[in-house]
Amino acid sequence: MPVVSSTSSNNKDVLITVSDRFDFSQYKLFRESYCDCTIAGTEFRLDLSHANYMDSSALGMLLLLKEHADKIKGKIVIERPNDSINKVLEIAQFHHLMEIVR
Amino acid sequence: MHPHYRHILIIDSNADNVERLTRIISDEGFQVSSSPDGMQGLVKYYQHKPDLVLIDFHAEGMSAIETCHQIKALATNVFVPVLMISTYLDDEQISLCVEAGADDIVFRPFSLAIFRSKIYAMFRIASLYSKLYTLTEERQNDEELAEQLFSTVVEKGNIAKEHINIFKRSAETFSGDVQLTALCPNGDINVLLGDFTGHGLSSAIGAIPLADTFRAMTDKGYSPIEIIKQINRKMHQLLPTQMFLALTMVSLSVNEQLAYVWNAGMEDSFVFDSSTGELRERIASFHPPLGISANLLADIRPIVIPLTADDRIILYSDGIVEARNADGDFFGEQRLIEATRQGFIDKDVQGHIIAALEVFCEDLPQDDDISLVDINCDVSVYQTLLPSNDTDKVAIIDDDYSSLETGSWSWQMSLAGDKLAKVNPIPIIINQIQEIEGPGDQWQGLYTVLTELYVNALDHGVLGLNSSLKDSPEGFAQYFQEKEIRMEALSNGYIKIKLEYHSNASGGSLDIMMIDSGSGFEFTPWIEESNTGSLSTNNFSGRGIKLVTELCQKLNYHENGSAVKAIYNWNN
Repeated sequence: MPVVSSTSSNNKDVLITVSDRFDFSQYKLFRESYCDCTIAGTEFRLDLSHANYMDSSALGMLLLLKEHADKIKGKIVIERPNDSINKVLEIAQFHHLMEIVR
Repeated sequence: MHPHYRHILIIDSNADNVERLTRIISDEGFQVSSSPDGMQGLVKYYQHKPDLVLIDFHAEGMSAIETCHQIKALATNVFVPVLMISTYLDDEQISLCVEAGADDIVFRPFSLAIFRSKIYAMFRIASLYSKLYTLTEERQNDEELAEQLFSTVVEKGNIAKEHINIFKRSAETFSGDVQLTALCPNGDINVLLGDFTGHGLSSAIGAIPLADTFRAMTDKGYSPIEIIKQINRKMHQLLPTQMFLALTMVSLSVNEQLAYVWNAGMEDSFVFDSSTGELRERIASFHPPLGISANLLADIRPIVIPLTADDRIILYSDGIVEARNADGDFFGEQRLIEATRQGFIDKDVQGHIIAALEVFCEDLPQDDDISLVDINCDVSVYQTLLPSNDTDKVAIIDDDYSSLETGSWSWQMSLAGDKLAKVNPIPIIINQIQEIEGPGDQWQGLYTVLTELYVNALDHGVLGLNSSLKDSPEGFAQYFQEKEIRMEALSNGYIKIKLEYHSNASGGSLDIMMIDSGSGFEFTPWIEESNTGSLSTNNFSGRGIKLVTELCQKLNYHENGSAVKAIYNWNN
């Protein structure tokens, strides 16, 4: 599965794992992975360690996730992007908008 | 479609078969025609343009496979299903039928129910195809229209095409990349390369407002950062959350021989020395793309690059480095740099890059737009862009307004405290003057004079900045950083500007008076230097005053420099 999400036992964290290509083809799955979670203060952790490509529509999808997280006063953390994905995030200067942990 | 309007063609040499099929089809309310062999069948196809063709595999004359093939070749813009009929076909015959374009095969003997179901299933597929054709055609029309609109509204206004070379190749008919160039009232050149998320029609939503904002604000003399702020506001209002605009903007200051570069979410921009092909500098993205947040980051500052006549700035969108070959490898930055370097040596940058891309990608279709902007930084080539004093034009303007002329007028404006940090009065003043006096070429020089005097009053007067900082390129950045900090903290201080307009027989003159709350600044050395013509070209500071003395008939500083009077003259 290219997009998998799980909720931690304390119900506070949602871990979303995107594998392979992170692009528009994942749009529906990606959106479904978080849109039902409306618990205030949820931390959405996006694990990108298994993804190997990311395009600008995926950046747009991150903005949608951020919008959702902001709405419920939660936060998002991007975790372990590989070099090429990190380059994309760096060009877009997304560290100004969300936390990125290498 | 009502059954009555559907037409079915039967190609079968057996009269009994034809009779039976004809009866079934007629009973369903369809029109029917038939032919005993393939060749005649093609003629009937021409005559009746049927909606479905039934071919008996053993029909005489031309082979059923060939007949099927020919019919499919004739039906180019419409889907005409072909149903093969036979008692037996081996695997190879079946695959030949499918290869020739047959859509289904029905084996004898068949029941009435099966035959009818097959026909209706075929029509169902045909109607899907016809919907698809209509949609595709509509989309093509829309894209052509958008393309037309785009090239007239967005790109036609571009300037200096022989010095700013724009190369683009769209992934689809319509590109998410936008390349814009425009001339500022003081002769500076603004260049913008933008890349909207995605491509196709949806990425075009923002292109027209982007071009409008960029052109209108450049025309009115707004500074690049003000233009970028406004573009960001517009895009934030307009674009949905997941869409944004990455852009690089370059403002070539013709007078200062500097380039100011903003990179918001684009690949690195390059500065090449065109005489050697050496990559001299790169400007990485330092701000997220526009349209994401309502406001820009607080500390956005351009990269300032002193230019020589050999410099060329290269901007490109990610499509070029992400172009893929058959193995899925990216073209990448290194190949681009190498092709550009070779291009400068052989004096054909675009040709070398296209050739390198073609060799790398072969004929593989690309996912993303490819665009590249090559800016000649020899500022002298842009000097001809400012319209020369066209006396006929000025005369027409004067005729129009002469009856309203009552001689002189004066106008003044005072700005104080934090308003000094928020308002740039120069575009307002130029607008005011143009409201009263109408447009004219003389305002371009005036624009420069006002800007230089105002910047001096603000920087050295109100903010008390020392211009010797600007003597080195590093100091330049430091200077702007310090200016930003002091602007942020600005709570008192003022600048008063007064203009007096006098018309005379040969044209007009404008007395410009500006006073500020500062304690003055060292202005004498520059004035002396510019009088003797000895201003060192390596100095980054003092250019402003030199320009003003060149453009004005008179320039006098009073009160240690905190008051200035300049007289700007022009001839009609």
